[in-house]
Amino acid sequence: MCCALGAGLSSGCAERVLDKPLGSFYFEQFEERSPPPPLEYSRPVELVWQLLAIATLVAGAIYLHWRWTASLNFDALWFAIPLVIAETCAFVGLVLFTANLWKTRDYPRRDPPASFAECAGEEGADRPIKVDVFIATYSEEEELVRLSIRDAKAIRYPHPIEIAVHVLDDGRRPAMAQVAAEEGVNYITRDNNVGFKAGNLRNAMEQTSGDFIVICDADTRPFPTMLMHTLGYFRDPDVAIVQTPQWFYDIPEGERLQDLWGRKAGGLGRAAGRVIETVFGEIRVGEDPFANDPAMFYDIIQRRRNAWNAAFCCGAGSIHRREAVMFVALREFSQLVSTTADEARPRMDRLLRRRDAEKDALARWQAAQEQELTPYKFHVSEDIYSTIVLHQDKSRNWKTVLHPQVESKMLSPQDLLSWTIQRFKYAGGSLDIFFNDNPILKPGLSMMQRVMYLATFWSYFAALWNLVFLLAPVMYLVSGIPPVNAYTGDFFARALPFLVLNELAFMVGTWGLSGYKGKVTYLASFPLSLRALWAVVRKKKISFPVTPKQRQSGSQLHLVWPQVTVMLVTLAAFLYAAIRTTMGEGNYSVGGLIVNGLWGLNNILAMSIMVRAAFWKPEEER
Amino acid sequence: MKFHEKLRRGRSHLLIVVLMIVTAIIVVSIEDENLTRETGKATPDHQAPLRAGAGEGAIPAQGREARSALPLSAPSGSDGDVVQLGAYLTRNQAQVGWEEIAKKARSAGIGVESIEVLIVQAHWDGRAVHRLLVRPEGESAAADLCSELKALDLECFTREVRP
Repeated sequence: MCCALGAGLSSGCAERVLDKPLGSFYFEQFEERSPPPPLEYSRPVELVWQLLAIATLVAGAIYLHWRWTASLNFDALWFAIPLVIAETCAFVGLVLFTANLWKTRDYPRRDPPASFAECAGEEGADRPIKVDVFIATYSEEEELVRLSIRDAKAIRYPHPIEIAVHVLDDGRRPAMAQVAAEEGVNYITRDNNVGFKAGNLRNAMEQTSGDFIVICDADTRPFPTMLMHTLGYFRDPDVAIVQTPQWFYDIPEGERLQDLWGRKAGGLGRAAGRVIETVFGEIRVGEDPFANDPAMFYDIIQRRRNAWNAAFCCGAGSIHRREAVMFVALREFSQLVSTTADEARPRMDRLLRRRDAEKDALARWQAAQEQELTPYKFHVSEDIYSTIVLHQDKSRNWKTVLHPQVESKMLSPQDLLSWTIQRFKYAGGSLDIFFNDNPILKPGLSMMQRVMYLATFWSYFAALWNLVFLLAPVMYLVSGIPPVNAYTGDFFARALPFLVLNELAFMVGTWGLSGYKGKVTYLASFPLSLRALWAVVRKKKISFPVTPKQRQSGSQLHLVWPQVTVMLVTLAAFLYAAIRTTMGEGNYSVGGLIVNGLWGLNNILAMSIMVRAAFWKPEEER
Repeated sequence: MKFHEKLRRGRSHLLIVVLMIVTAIIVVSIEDENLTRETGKATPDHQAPLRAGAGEGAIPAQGREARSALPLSAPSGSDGDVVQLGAYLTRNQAQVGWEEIAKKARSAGIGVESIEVLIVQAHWDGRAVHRLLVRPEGESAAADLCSELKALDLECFTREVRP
């Protein structure tokens, strides 16, 4: 262990080890990139968003009312009913998402505390703050972890502080221990992998004693300012967790359209590209092929949960108050012991409320032996799960904070397999909580916290209605049966205001960010959520595979067969409808063909983003 | 970040808005044109004939000249003239339409209680429409009823039911 006792010593340690050359990694070329600043808050923009959001919801309610009461095609209820149910479910999701985005209320930034007494209320001792930096690893390349260690050691603080860096190696690798020794940091391992990452963290907590814990994954590289900018929040003794935005500094930037066309078609292509970019603004082809940019999630979704104390921990890049984590773990533990001991009593004793102090004590002791103290829930989504448990604890009103500024950098999934593993874990973990320990209906959370968590869970159910939206145009193009009774002014008079207002509202509501790619990826990732849902419904355990930190080679087309199928089926439906229309057959209306044609085209484009991602290769592999 | 850059990032929303509005205009124009062909006369108001609100969703009743455009299937198997009072997008709207017409007729002293009311589905340009028909009893009763209704500013026309 190194770098204890103060910023001066800490920086000295960092300088000593930074003379070792970096390994050869694809992301070295991105080392100089700096993160984007958080979105600026503007009260007028927020007001416009809120007005548009209300107008959207009113227009949506009018549209849905009309859909249910006056537009159903009674000749094809088998088609009309599922679609209108899907639209209604999507509208519920819209209401929840609107509530999530309603307002931005950042926690006030405060100066970094000089001593532990300043962030522990009346009980805190007047001594330097102690921080443990946990770098959890399992199978990642040791040299990659070395970079994270070095950056962790380079963390600065304006007051005396004790920072201890620990490598938590669940892979029990001598090479990792060697790297830790070379870097002069603590190496912690164990002889099993119980609880996976959560178990790894618990094991480290048992062997450390810092006041605060910084959670890092193997590829998380904290900035020197991380503690300087975040420990101030802990001046409020109720603040339990501060989550900082995750920033993937290796996301491909793509190539400008005019450069790409210029390269492929010479001067004419460049000129055409330039004209298009003049009209529509800069266009980058191949930018962020996996829609990994997490800005929408952190800078919009999570940040706006600050207003309701509902931001949740996402693991890497978060700072935890040890007391809070242990407090909640002990409460959970005692409740479990109490419940288990009570269940062990004879039924007659329970019915008659007969107590025997000696027997009760024995039962509690036995129950305590059976239960485990788990500061972090042993779960695939241990981060959100642990936050829910914190929020449910009303005896202390624990708070979670989303700090809007990026304080670390990390690596994005570089191939579709890694991306799929990561997203499957998110979906499966969240759905598993929903079905097996649903916090929405349990006591503890405030109304708005319930709404925020429901918004998260609901988004994973969206695959069900998205599937209906993907199939609806195909059904029309094949059968000629419209799900609404007519695509007339009657339909557009209700649908158009809703759809237009919705687009405008979310343009203003996410002002400064581009949400298109995220939106279509959300639609295109329906097979993933469906698989997760199917696994959870069958009570199949969602496994904990570590998300690969380095690019996986080989064909990944098998991962996108559902998307390819949707594309092919929609194209076939286009062809079929075109042939029948040309032959004067079919029961199509012109309006129906146009609306469903565009709808199908939108679906094909959305699916194509995921299919293209399966073929994506970085520049150096092309 | 400058306004221009923020707008660039939000352009997909604007492009979708433009696409949706243009699509709506094109589709409604085409449907209007078809409607005009179907009814044999220009729609007086772009919205009114297509709106599906109670009482307003009627596709205007056709003139006699359009009779051959839509062959009417026999509503109950018997021959004779019927009065078409309108065509609606849904059966519900046709029922609401009849209730309003009947109310107006009753208040003018026209007896409509014993009239047989028929809502007949037909297909027009690939979609279902629901014709609101009434069959008064007696020779030339249909023509008489239609004249009386027209005097109340209600549109109608008679059409022959083919066996």
